[in-house]
Amino acid sequence: MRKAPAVVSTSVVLLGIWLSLTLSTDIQEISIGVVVSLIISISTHGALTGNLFTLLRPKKFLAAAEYVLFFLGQMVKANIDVFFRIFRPVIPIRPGIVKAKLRLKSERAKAIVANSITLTPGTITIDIIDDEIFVHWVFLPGGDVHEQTQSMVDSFAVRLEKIFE
Amino acid sequence: MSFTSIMAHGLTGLGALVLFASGLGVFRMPDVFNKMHAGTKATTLGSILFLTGIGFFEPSWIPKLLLIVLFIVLTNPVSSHALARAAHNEPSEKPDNLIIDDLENSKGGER
Repeated sequence: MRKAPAVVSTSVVLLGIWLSLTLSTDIQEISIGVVVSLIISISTHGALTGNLFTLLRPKKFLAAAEYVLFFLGQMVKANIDVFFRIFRPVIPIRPGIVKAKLRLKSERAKAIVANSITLTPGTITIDIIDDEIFVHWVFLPGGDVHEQTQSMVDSFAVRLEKIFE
Repeated sequence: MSFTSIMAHGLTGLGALVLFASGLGVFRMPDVFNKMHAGTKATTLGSILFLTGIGFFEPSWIPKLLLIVLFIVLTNPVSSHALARAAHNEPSEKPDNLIIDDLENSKGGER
């Protein structure tokens, strides 16, 4: 079965969610969790997570860990940025919507980039049309805005390409 | 005062402060997209800090708290994305202070 790794990883994730919600080692709870998560993952062909086993390769795992750390750092920076902007007497804004190219193939990777951009300093994603991503800046950077936006999007896309190939 | 108690009170307090800033941001920002900035970023980190603080109060809740954090991080940007897109498609909601608007230009042909 071609979808087998995806089905197995989805059911493992679902079982993990179930076990951390119940927090019980009772055999009845565990077995109902195994059965239900298998039913869900088989009937959805593992569409929830896809194949997670590729992440077990050391190279991919390191790339994923690096992405998470980079993302957390950006998120903290974003909050400090919002925090100091909001308490000013006059909020400094210079808004604009800028487009950038997104060369990632996988739809899942595109969704992750869009969500990451929303949670990082000064930018939210408005829309993705084909391979173009539209980003709203709260304060447009100086110089060439398209170039700046492209390099910001690429800083995520390059890291994700290593994970999704 | 023990280390866990200091961490618990400190983190919940910091989380509450960030959540307050987020609420104030939604109130103070002038238009819908800028309100979205405050309402998404600050609520996400605020909730994460607050829930981590609660994890120090009650270590047995940590698995459930991790789940809540995961769902907040996954769903919060999606909801803001959907709201921002809807606001951009609705002419009466669209702010007129945008300095450039590439999305409007590339949609021009469709309408």
